[in-house]
Amino acid sequence: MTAVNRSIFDSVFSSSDLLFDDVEGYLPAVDTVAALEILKRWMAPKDQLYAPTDDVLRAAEYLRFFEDQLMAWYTDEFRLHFNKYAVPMLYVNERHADQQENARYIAQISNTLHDAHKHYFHPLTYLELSDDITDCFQRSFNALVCYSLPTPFFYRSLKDYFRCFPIISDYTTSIPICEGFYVAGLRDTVERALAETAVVEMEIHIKEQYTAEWALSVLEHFESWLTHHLTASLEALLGRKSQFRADLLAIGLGLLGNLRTNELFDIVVDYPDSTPALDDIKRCLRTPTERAKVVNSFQIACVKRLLHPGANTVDIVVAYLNTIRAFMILDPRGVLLAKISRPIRRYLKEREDTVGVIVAGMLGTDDTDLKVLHEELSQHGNKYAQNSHGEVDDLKDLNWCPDPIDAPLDFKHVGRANDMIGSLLSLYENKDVFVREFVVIFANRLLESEDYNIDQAVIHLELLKLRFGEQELLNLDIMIRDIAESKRVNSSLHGKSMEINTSSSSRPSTLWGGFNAKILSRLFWPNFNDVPFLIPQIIKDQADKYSQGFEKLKQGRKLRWLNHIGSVKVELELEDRSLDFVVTPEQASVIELFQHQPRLSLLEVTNQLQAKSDLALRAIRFWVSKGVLKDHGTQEDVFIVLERAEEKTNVNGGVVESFSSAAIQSTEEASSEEMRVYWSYIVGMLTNLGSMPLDRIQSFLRMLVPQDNPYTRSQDELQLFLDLMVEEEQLEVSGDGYRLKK
Amino acid sequence: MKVRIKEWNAVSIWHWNVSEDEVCGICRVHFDGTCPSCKYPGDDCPIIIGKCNHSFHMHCLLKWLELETSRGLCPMCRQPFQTLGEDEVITT
Repeated sequence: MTAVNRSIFDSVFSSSDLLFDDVEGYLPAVDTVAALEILKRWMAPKDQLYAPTDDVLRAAEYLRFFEDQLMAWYTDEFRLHFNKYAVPMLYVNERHADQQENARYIAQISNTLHDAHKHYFHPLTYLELSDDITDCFQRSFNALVCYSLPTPFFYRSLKDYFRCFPIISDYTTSIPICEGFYVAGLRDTVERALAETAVVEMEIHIKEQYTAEWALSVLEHFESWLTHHLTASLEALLGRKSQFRADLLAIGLGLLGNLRTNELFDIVVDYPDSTPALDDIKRCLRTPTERAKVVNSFQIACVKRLLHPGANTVDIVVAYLNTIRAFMILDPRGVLLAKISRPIRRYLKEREDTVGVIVAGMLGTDDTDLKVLHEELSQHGNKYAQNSHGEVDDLKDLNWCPDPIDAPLDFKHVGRANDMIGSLLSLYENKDVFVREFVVIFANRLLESEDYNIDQAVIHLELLKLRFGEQELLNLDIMIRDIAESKRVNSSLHGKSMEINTSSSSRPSTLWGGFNAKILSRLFWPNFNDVPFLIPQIIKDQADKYSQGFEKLKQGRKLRWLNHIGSVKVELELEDRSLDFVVTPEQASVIELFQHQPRLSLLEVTNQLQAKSDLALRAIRFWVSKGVLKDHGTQEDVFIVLERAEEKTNVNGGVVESFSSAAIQSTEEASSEEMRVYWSYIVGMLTNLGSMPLDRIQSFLRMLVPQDNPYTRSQDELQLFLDLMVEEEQLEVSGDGYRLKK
Repeated sequence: MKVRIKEWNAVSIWHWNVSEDEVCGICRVHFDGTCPSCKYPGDDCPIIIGKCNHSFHMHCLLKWLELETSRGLCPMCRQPFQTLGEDEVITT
């Protein structure tokens, strides 16, 4: 006990050392009454502690005759004494804002109670009281302490105190104080305060040490910290071994789980670097409530940070893939994944470019994060393809087990966690959307390749076949074959091949070597928008010759030229420079016109090309942007050739058209175009039934269209088509449905 | 200015020398497509034009002619089916 504390208590209890003065006037104990008096006089609380005299000891031998009476008196005595001297020490007027003062207050209470206990129990140590009586007195003392203490106030102060002297770092100062409370029977209160403080300190520790630490598992570190720091300090403070470590660990795991749950979105984004953190979360998740919380907070984070128009589709798909893999670590049964992936999937489905992004990723065309899809496609190939339709339970599966108890209604077994492509493909009801996208991409690529090179396409096709099946990709097969066949035809028409046509006279020997063609099977390629315009006469002659050659080579077949598709290499010789370009046919045709007349108006170009004016204008703009043509300046829509490069021409200013600008219909356009097949069915049903909502039309089409060429379009596609029909004034919207326009 | 075209890569589509919208009278598939038993159009799945001016996928017609009930008749006009010679021209 410190000197300060002693000075406070000296006035009440004085020194705690024993004094051996003979108290004057003690009578020899001759009878019980006298003995009682002697004992009373010795026991009455005084400022000093006195050792018993011989008289007292002799009187104590009569104790059994008046034990109850003596103790009843002593209890009253000590109560009075306690109320008079100790209680004022326990009260303060208001809560101490200052930590120092609060600490002094706590220490004061602890010392008061400690001393009070020592003094009041001092006489009892010399008397041979029965256990009942001792217990009773002990209880009276504890009750008095409890009653006298301003409990809620004391409890708050105690917690404040522990905040000031943390359990872990500063527990040594608190040990004697705690002991003071223990002897006064306040163990429960102190333990409660300690427990609460321990939890708070744990929380701080977790927050400070483990936030955003995902690369390593922190659980081990946490457990060792708990054992060596928190538990050790607590045991020292409580003065005994206890079973609280398990409880603390449970609470700590909960807190850690909480922290990680809130961080989950970032953890998922960080996958696979954050795998250890995911393992930690898995251990922290024990109750359904915690699992529900994970789902909830992750969904909220997703909506806030991912599923909004500002996010790139590639990023969303990448995040979705990460989510799949991360949640399969968290919950291998896939229940959590099933729950959280639903909003992401729904959102991805709504995005227009999702299919394109996935397809591009699978083909590895652009260098995005989705390259993983391409890698997976090339590595695993058909590993998962077989049971891609196997959504029904396999009755022969010996490892079958029922759906988890908390699984949502439409839960599907996610046995193929690593099947990223599969999970993306399952976004849509059927694979047709992907196949259509493949057709467009392959068409663009095959048409762009200048040297009939199909190696890359063949490799991709083979990989895709493993995943999608041969039959679905027949179109691609034919497209590639068309190009290969075109190469053969092309070289034989140019006389490079020896196999066919021995009579050299019949061969169109005048075919110009620079004219190459690709010959397509039209039904198997995407629809080509028809863009009419005239190509230069010399090229047209070549094309005609080519057609003649083809008709000779392939009996009974004819060619139709798609003038607007293809590419042209031109060299422009101007007065001061010569320029090389690879351009589209219409751009080449336009510049060819300027060869003959260096000054042409838009109208003249349009007339000579027999093209629409926007096509001509776009081609002219291209040349203007390249610094070959120039606005006349004074006359509107008249362009002149720029024979001498102007220094300050707005060379890069114009809009440079991308190459195959909409030569091929977008999938969307094409699918609406294909939907026209079903138009007669729709007209039929609307004539009979009047106005019908979208979903009924959809289900009717499913039923009505003959099964040999079943109706497989999604409702979205149908809606696009119907909206197109509304635009074309064939249909009108009435209430919640469509009806024929009268 | 002189424009020199160094290379012209054109694209064309082929079609059988019949009216473009016509379909095979047997399988009802477009001539430029394939008959049900073929995979690749064009050389692999040629068409055959009869003297009666009816055209079919060759495979479709051969299958039909193999049947006894066909008695070698054109399925459309029930005249004996004869193919058009190389130099003959269809008159439509």
